[in-house]
Amino acid sequence: MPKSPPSPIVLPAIIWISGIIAGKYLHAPQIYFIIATVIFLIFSCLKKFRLHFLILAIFSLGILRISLTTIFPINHINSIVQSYPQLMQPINGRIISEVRKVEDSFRFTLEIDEIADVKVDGKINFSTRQAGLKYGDAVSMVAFIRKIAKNSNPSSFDYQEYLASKNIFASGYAKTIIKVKDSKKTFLKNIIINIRKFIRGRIENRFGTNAGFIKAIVIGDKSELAEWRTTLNKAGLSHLLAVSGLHVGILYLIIFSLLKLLIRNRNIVRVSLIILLIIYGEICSWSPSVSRAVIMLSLYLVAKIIQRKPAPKNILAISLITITFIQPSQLFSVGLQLSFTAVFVLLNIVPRIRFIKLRKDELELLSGTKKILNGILIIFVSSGILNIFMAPIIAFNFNQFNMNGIIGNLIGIPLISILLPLSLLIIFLPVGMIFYQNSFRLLMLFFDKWSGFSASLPMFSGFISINSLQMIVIYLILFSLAFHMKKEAIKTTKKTKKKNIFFLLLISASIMLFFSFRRESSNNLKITFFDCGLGDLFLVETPDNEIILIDSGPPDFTYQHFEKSAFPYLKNNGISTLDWVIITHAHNDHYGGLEFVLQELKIKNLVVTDEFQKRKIWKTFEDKIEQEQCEVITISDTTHLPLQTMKFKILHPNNSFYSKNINNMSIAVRMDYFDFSVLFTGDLEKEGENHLLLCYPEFLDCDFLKIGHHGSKTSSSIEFIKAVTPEYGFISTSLKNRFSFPHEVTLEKYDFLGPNLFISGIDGALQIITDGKKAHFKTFLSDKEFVDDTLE
Amino acid sequence: MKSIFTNFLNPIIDLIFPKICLGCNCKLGREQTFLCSECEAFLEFLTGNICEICGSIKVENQCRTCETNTFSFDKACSVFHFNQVVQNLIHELKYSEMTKIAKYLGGFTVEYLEKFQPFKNVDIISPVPLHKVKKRARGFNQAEFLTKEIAKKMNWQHTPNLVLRKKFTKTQTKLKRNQRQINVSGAFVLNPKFDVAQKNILIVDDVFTTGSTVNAFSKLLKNNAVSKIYVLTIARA
Repeated sequence: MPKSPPSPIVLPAIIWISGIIAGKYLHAPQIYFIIATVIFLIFSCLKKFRLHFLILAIFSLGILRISLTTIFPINHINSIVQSYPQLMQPINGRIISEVRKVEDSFRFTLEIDEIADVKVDGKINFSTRQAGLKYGDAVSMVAFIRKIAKNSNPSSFDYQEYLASKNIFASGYAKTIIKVKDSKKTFLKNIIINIRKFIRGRIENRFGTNAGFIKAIVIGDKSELAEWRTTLNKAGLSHLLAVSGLHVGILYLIIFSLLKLLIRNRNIVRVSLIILLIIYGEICSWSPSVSRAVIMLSLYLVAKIIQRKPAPKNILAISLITITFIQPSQLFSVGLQLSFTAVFVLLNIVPRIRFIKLRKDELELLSGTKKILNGILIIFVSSGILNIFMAPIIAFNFNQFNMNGIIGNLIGIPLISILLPLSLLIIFLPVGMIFYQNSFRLLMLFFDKWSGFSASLPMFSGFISINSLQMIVIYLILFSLAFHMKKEAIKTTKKTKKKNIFFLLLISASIMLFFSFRRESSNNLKITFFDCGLGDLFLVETPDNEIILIDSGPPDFTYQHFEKSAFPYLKNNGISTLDWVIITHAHNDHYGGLEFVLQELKIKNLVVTDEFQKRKIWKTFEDKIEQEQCEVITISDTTHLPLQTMKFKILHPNNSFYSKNINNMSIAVRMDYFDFSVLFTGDLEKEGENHLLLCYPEFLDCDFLKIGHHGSKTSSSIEFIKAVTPEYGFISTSLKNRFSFPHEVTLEKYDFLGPNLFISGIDGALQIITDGKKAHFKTFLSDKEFVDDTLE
Repeated sequence: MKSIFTNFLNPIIDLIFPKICLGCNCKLGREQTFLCSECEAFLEFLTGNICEICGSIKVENQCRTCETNTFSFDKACSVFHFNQVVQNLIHELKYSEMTKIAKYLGGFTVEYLEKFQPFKNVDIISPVPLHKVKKRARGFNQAEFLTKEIAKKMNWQHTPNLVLRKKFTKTQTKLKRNQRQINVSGAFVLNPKFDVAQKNILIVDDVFTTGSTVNAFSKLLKNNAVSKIYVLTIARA
């Protein structure tokens, strides 16, 4: 294998991104970094330590660049929502994205021009129920604008940070009718808007049900693909949906071959291709993978024009610097990380596999069948290696491990390279051609079947959890192995030096591995009270690692149903089996997530009341329960769960009690782990509470009370509170709801708890970790965190 | 203006698109163009004990190539020994469209021609033509770039369209010797615009492997009463 060509930008790029990463966690006034950069640059004029000071200068420039993203001018929308988290004002602005239809509302990004006649910069997410708005419209209306909320549950998707990486810090919705005005668009913007409109129109007219798919692969608009995405994701083919190097490469080949026929001068062809690429990037709204592909291809074309041999790694490094210079926060987006890892691996690791031929001169010597065989091998080997190298990032971010793509890509990639040109043909032919459309439909059907098949392959797991340390360890091992491979391929004089690096990587990897697993073992009881809006959703992880779910949150049309609030935490902690699921009573803010839980997780025992099983809704679960072979335990009297180290009593309902009010038939639970005790009373109202007082007064006194019925005034009688005398309380409710929970009267009753009263609508989720002697409390929205070591 | 360009812009271009040695992928200095000094040393003129007719190296004073073949040309020469460096250069010229390499190789060829004077009284210099479809696909004829360069320096008449390729042939690189001969036989026709009678003609190609291509070309010229037919190739496989 020949030596890789010199790539002078690679080192500066690595230093630059290290600077950005350091800057993200380093908070100091920008002026220090400006001074530092200037000093380093001046010192770098000295001959002796030029390189060292240049490195330092680039590093501090990186820090400076990311720290600049945190300051905004006073008239920027972010500065405004920082001081007024909610405001209602007349607004002028322009729609700068496609208008997406989500259920019965329309959503788009709005570039703000004026708020209440004051000039304002920045963009917001906007939603309205008014139809007929288009990309590029200038609009005015009275709107309600608010800051984007932080995520309130552990491990759940950080929407705030995701939007911040796109420079969006606020969202809004229209309070009045939106008026569309004539807008002054620049000539170029107008052309691009019209091209988009033309392409979208053609796609919608000519592709029917496949329009969503075509929009994704041709113009990078994935908004109409909801159910397809999960299948393709499991099939390991979701990269085919993101417009990336593959797509841009195919488009480039098609257009280059066409232009070549029309124009003799290759350099004119190349220059016009660069222009077309930039227009295409604009059409695809410059997503990270498109930006990367467009920048890299353009640089490749420039290299061809000035007749230099392109150095791929150098070009990759330049595109990384360019993208992170324009938007440094992109560095932390998964899309960019995956895109660059993929190309890095393709350029560095794949060529080391010696039984596939990649070079042109080697390929020329192969016969026809061998060429095809080699092609298949290339796809197989490279998708295998890519899958392995991208797995840690995917596991860390999405808790998935997926090797189905190794098989899936074998047909998936060739299919997409036929589907893409074919769809372009159908889009740009002046008249619709039945023949092409039919063959397209046929291929699409095949693609559908194939992705279904590869999604059903067994190499997929959705419950992989690794922390960042483990991710780094895996990368160290992978790269050290990969570099080891090179050492054998060519014999260099630097052999010993490379060996050292290899062992250094391996040793550091094993040290980190040791630390990362040491942190795992614990003898703690962990209770997580999720913020699921209005509903109950709690998870208990016992010291012996038995998993108990108490209630499953509200139904899935609500904003923070099980999948959004609790599921990310379960995935992130590798919990795919629930040993006990307790549904306290038959109200849908308690059983709402049960269908999803049955679908996605394994349940060993389902604990329910007799009452629940008599309801109509129970029928809808019965099939699934049978199929999953989970044992149904009916609570008709006081009992306990057989746990090893901790006590878990079920106090209510007992056989001497009956109430017509379902709330009063709630399962009430008491847990004891050494000195720490918790009481969950479901939605018990006064009647139920009185029964508990009557039957089990000795079991009611405890440290922590899950306050009954979302803080309703019908629960929490004075006598009951006196019997429990909690030190901590948790009310599981959102703040604005039609029952106006939590009721004022109830809050007054628990006034004595002071700061120890948690409300999910204010504090977000609450997690308690206790060893039975002391308890560690942590909330996820209000960021309270403290330890109580006075348990007794 | 020019000094601004060379002092300021060139270093930036070198940073983004570093000059790479086409032989060993190492970094090139500012005055080097395609090869580092180590690789340039591999560009050796093919001299010494070579066959008077086909230009191959003789083994024990006998030419193996001429024993088994009869050639229609009068004399063939190659500029360089064939090696990885020469192959890379020709490869980048043919497939990566680095047309500046033609100028670079042309310079060496002229140096070779002036030093060894292998051909006497050349009237016309002509490249081996490409089929027009192939030329369109590749964008240029690499041999034509070479002949243009040589003709300019040596003051010979440059006629790139002397012969046309009428048959679309398979690429020779993958074929065996006898297949190659069949493949190119009857591939060329003479352009009626030119009068070649009693002229000395020099044919230029990039690589001489079995000589089948240039031989087919020569056969055609021989049938048209050409006085002397010379063949020049950059390398000899």
